[in-house]
Amino acid sequence: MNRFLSILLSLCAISISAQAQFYNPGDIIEIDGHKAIVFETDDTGTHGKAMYVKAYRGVDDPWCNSGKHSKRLPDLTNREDGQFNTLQVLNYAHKNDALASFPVFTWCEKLGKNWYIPSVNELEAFINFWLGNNIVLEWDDDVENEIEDNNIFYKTINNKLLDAGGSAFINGVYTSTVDKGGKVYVFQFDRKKNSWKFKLKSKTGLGQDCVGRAFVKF
Amino acid sequence: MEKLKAFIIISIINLICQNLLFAEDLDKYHRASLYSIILKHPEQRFSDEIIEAFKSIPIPDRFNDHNLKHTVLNAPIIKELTKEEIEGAYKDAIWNMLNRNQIGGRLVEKWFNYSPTSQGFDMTLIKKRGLYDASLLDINVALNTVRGKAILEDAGEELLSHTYILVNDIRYADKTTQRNLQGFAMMAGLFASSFIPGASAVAGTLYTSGVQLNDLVVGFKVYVTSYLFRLDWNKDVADHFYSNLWVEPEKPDSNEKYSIFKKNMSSFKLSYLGCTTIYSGKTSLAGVQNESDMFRKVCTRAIDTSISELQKQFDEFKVFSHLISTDPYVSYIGLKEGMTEESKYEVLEMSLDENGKTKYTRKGIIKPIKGMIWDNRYMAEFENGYDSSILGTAFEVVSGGGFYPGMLIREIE
Repeated sequence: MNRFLSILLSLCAISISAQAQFYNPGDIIEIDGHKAIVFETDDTGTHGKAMYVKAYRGVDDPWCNSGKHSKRLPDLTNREDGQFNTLQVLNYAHKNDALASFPVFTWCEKLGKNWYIPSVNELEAFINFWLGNNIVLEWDDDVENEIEDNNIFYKTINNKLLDAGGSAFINGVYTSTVDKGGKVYVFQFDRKKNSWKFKLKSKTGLGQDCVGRAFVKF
Repeated sequence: MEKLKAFIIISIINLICQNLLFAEDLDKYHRASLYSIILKHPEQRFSDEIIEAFKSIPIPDRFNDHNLKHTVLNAPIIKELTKEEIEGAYKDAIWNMLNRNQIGGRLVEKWFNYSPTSQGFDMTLIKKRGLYDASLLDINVALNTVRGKAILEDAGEELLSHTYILVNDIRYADKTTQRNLQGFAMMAGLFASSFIPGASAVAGTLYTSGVQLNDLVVGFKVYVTSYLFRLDWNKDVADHFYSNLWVEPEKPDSNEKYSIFKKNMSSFKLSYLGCTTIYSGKTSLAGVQNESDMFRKVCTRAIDTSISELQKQFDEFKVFSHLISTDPYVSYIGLKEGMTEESKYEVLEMSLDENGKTKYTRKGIIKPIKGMIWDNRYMAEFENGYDSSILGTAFEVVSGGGFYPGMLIREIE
């Protein structure tokens, strides 16, 4: 009995240590069978947020293709929690048998219950990661101070997404946050000015060039 | 006037020859310490060349070199802002970047000379830069004697609290940058529009060796916005550090104590002082042998101008020079430090009180003699009109007296 308990405890310890993975921003991980890029972690490195490497695009009116349903949606002004906003849309869609009216949300739901369309603040956090604004340099190495790779940081991240079988992060990514005027925040990057902003677009006015991305917490 | 000038020049040459023998003594004063960083814009033209040029520029000799391992950081790319939001946004992005990399703690770590070999801190650098005596080498002695505590307090006031971080945003001045930066800088009220003196003449002239340069390099111009931060070091910070975060070397718990220090690196804060934007304008090709010379010349002069503009804005960032002679009054300071014929300098006597703390007493005011300002800008010796006979700036007395060689001078309003 004692021997059985010790074996069981050892197996548990192995299982726990195997689960205690530490992640850094930029790591490619797999959640629910889908590859995602980590962009934010807590101090322990074991929890954070990641973005699915693949994107949802090429569909007209991906956010909502029904004027009737777009006006009846509950409040989606939450800037912090995209998971909350996504659940609000999906609950409405299921209740009103209107899943087909919300293509990107339907796509997201099929990825798994943990996946969601990001809020505006969550998308901004990813954007800052993508632009290299959040880099923490390695200070402890004994390596001489060299000019590091002078590649544009977001191109490095886009290459990682492509290498993982996904799509580059580009203009036109939209959020689940809707402003008080009922419009969706859409990411716009100006390469000439090297600055970016959120444009506001109608829920039913997003074109095929607009891009849906799914986030997950781990 | 010409006879006076000749007399001054001959005197200067004589005195310089004499003073070379005493150079070490004249160098004994507390300098501010500087960590100089450049922001990288890989998407911009000449980004690599600007970074290479910056890395070859040493910390000006009036500062202690307090550079950390990384001197090249990614320029933050910020959200497009409304006019109301723009002020301070870029500065905040830089500040966040410095805090994220725990720069305050790393500067303190450098001050106390952490060594992986001894696994602890020591006072070697403080002693060297502060010119303190050997008793300061032992922190336990310093913390437990009146004189030792006074010296530590002095080191804090004189040295650590004069540790600066200069973040330089150097951008090639093509038409897009000019348009963007003028809009940005004007909205933020940053545009100092300082032109480097002497740049209007001889633009485009080839050096006598007939070096041919690419047209873009010949016309190479930059905007430099320099952001000035300071390490926050006061009595509370000092007490906390010495009491709770000091790591005694070669002790059984040194590793553990160093881990505690590292976890607390973020507790060492930086204050933002301000910024300045300057435009290099055209730079002459005099002395330029190749393209990298040109990049280095433009960037060095631009950064020197930035520093002198910031010194005009912030008294605490002003540096000392010293009088090397009093007959005539001469100091090794000049155009590089932004001197003009209207500049005025206080003459200070540095002394130690009974506890060994530094004090400065103003003894008078001097100003440069017209036509006797030393052109000590980078590669000035190649410029047309360079007067090689002037090897230091000569001054005349405005007020006070009793000056002697070794006294310090510092620019005043």
